[in-house]
Amino acid sequence: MSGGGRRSLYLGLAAVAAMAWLPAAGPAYYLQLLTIIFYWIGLAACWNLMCGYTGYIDFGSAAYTGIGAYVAGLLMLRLGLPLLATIPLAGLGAGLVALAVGWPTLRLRGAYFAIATFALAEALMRVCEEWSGLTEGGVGITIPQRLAELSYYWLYLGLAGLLVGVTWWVEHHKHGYGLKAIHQDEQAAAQVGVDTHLIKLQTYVTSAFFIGMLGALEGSRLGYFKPDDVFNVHITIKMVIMSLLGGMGTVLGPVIGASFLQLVEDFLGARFLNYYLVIIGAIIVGVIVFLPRGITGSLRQRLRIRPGRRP
Amino acid sequence: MSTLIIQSLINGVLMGGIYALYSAGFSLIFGVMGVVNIAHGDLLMLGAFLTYWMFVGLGLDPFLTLPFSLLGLFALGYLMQRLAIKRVVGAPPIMSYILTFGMHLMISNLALVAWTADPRTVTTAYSGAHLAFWGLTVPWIKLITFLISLGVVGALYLLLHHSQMGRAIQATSQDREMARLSGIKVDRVYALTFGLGAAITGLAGSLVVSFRDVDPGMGLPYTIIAFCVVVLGGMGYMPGALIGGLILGVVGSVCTMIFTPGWSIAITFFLLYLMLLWRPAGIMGKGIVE
Repeated sequence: MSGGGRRSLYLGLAAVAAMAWLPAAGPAYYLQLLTIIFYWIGLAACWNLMCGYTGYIDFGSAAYTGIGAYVAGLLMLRLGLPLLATIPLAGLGAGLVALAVGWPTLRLRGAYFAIATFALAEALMRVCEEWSGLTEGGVGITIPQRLAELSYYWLYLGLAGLLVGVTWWVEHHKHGYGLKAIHQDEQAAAQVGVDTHLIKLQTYVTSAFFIGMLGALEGSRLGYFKPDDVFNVHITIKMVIMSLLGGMGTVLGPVIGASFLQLVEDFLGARFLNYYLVIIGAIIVGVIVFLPRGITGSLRQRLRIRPGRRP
Repeated sequence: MSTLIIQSLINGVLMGGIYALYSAGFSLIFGVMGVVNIAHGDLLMLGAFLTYWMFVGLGLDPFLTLPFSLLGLFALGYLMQRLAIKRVVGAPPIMSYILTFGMHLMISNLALVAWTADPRTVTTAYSGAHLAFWGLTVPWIKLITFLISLGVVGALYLLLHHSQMGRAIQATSQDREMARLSGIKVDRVYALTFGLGAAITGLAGSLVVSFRDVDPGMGLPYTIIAFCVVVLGGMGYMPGALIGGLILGVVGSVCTMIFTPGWSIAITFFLLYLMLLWRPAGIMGKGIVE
């Protein structure tokens, strides 16, 4: 590992440490906003890890926040497990579903993967709504346990930091070269000995595992949710847009994209939800047509800055 | 009981005609350009609203609005391709998913702002008319809709195989560079293809108005069904849309009879999953997989 790579790692660790110390000093008003931003950085980092690096687009990531929230919630409700024990189990549940979905679809063209995941989230939401004997259906479930507000801050910060760290590791490790090779030319990658199916599957299951854990935590933070809340297609949309705005397939892309979009959303508020989505749609179309490399990538190109991510 | 089963099979086949119609548009666009159009169901929604407003505003019979939605959606599709989708043809496929996803957000939410989420219905003098025999009922509207759908899918097939324009489209989908070298204006072929796909989808939208309500969010489930239909029939393989559409129509209708409508999309997905597992190239094995 070169000096530059190590320096960025130390910088990142210092940033996380500073953020972890913040609640002791910062005004309480911003803590909640930061908590939500860290949550989204975590989700966007998961999405970016899979989709930004392999080029296989998951349009149903909300399936995993939903599975996470429901697995954890039902384990607490029905079996009385403690909250923190349910979180990794929720991740496991999401990971298993990702394995089942990824196994056949990741062998095929990216179009099939996009389609299957897109339909998966919708289908799971309907199952949760209809199977009211297990899930209470459209009425929703109330989570009996909750952590302290600050615990969510630290947990989300820790997970976001971990996921950005994992992305950084992937970027600087053989695994990452395999992923990028898949993005550029999958057949050529397979010919030089990259087990493309295995690498894609590993990455997808890992990403779903963390999305499941984040979804489970967020479910308990909300305290009450319906299938429509945790399987909502807007969760996926936000993950896509955050990665896209920050720059897909970059380590810091999700951090920049998630912070930017969450701040914009916080200022615009939920009052303009429909207009907000129209604008978001227009931004996506605009970014693809005019800035296909994302905001950071296009700026970098415009300013002729060399991408500083060579190991 | 057996009457009930036959009735639900009939309903399924009649619905399958519509599925086949707009899925053929989806399959055409994918087969020729490699673009997965996530905004496909929204084009259907626009066709449905066009018919609704012409019916309410001008008192035009829903079936008389068909040429307008055909032309209107053709123009919209042509423009969408020329202004935006053109940029992603030939780029990594993910760009097209994200781009059309953005279009889906724009179209469906603009419609929501303009027309609110209230479901609207079109009721004509002949809305309830039906054929009745052996204890079965076949609504005239659904029968006519089914026949129109089959006719349009057939016409599309003939157009693709027996016309100058169709041959240009086929050549472009087989080998873009060779087509260009042979003097085909590839950009124009793409725009025509997208316009054609959008046009028949808008037509399907105008047809469904006769037997269901219209709202801005109606598009998304149709997009998902189109995905499933083309995977069943084979991506980019035109007759496959017909086979897949009929199968999915029947499956959906039988599921609704046995369970509740909510389960039918879950079972549809399960079917899609099994297909991807065992026969990703579709039942006929003629779809584009690699």
